[in-house]
Amino acid sequence: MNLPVYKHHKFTAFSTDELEQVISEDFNLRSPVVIDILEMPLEDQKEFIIYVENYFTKRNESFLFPYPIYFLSQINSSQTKIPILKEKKDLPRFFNKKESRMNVKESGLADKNKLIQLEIKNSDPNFYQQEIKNFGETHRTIYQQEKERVFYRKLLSQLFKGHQNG
Amino acid sequence: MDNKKNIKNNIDDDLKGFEEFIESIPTETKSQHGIQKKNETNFENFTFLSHDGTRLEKLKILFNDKLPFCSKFDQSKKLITDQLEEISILKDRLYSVAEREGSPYKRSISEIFNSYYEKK
Repeated sequence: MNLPVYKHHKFTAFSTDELEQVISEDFNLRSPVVIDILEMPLEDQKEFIIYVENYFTKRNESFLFPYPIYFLSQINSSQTKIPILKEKKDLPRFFNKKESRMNVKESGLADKNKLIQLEIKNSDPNFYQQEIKNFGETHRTIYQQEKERVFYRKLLSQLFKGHQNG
Repeated sequence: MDNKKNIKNNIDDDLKGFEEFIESIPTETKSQHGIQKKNETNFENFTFLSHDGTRLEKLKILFNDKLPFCSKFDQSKKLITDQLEEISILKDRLYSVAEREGSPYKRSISEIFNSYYEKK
């Protein structure tokens, strides 16, 4: 068993055969994945990312949980939902550890984490993504309205104060 | 024997604070450093794994408990309607206060107008 540190895959050309050898349903189950396609032609990069995104959406799997998949690419990140980074140094530092052998105590802890990873994988990503989106939108509205309400209250109290002072 | 031990301890005491500048470090100290380093790295892995475990546990709670609960007992719509009601009440009160004869709002407006249009 290994530590959940970045697993790097490098692709220089878009070939579905090569990709299907690497990609699987448990692709991001045990550790975060970095797919480096910086050396690929720009047009292929976009196709490649869409292919991977479709792979996960078709199977109703998440490319963010339990561990995220990152692309190293020159493509604009607004074109897809998969996180895209320009350079290796932009990767979150949390998983940036050296891979080493685990002792008994650490293996026990990793085994415990294994169960949670499976539980997260088995939850429905469509449901929670939609739910998080709804939650965010409604709370943004609540925040804006609360700001407006506080503003009117302040204005009213200041007007009353002015009235009392003459 | 005791004398030998005392001499050794005295030498160690004398060298305290200068270990970095001395090229030949006694073998005992070397091995101690090694053990410490090994322990530190192991501890680092364990901490990393436990932090990751906490992260996964939080995600699990979010997906399996909190989000289903939020969707079942959604309070945001009620909150939004309550806020809208209060905002409209506050607006009405604001208009009524501003409309009064000699209200601070009317006075301020008249001051602004007078400062621009009064005859000099």
